[in-house]
Amino acid sequence: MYSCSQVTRWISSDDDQRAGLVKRLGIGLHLVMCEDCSRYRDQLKALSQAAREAAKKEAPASEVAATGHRIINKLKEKP
Amino acid sequence: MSATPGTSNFSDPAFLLRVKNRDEAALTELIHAYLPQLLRAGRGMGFSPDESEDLAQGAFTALVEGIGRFQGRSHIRTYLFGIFYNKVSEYLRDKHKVGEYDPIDETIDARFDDRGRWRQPPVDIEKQVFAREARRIIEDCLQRLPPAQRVAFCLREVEEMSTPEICKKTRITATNLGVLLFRARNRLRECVEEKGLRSE
Repeated sequence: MYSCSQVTRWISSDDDQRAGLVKRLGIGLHLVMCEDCSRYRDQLKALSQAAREAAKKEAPASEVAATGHRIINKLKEKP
Repeated sequence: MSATPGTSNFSDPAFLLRVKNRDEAALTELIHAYLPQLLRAGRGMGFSPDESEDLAQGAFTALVEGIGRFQGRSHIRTYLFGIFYNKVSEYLRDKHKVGEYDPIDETIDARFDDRGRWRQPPVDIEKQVFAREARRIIEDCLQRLPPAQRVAFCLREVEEMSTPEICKKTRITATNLGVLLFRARNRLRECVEEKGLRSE
């Protein structure tokens, strides 16, 4: 019913989440039947998971403190 | 007025006056209270430490310069983060306009035939292998994204904001957000497949 290029475009642009029931069912069905698109979908999930984990790494307190000093110095510069 | 550092009431007009006069102790209290959160927000949106610092600097500067307009009705935190997201929107509008050509559009097109079937499907490797490579090089691949795409992707995937929330905060349409996400996700996937899987 839907082509692979359509389905991958929709899932990568979150169009599937705004779609009506029929379209969402059609996408779901395509993903069940198409190994390539299913792999594509899984890879997008892995990217999202990886990004979340990477973002959890926080700057050390010393860096935050140094940043704070720089910001305050600049604020004090202005007339 | 509080005599003990770190315990000022941020809504107190006396405190706001000190901020307006750029009193160092007052500024230090504000920075101490809100800078970590701002930097975390910047990081969560995919900005580098330098970019996050620039955005935080911009937000605090705008706060201090605009403190006369601050009504005190909303909490300073809300006001400061409002400025922060405005700066992010400005940054997005300056750096990248959606609708311009992006090479990823052609790359994706080339992967399908005239009937929309895969001509060059995703590389057939195990989920765990792809996931491991993604974790290894995601930061590098994220930094290669055009800023607007990076912010859109991170707001959605890292901050897990809904489409309406993102659109409200960054003032882009849902359609444009979709284009940014399409480009970001495909660029990232191509990046991991290309750099991750095919390298040693």
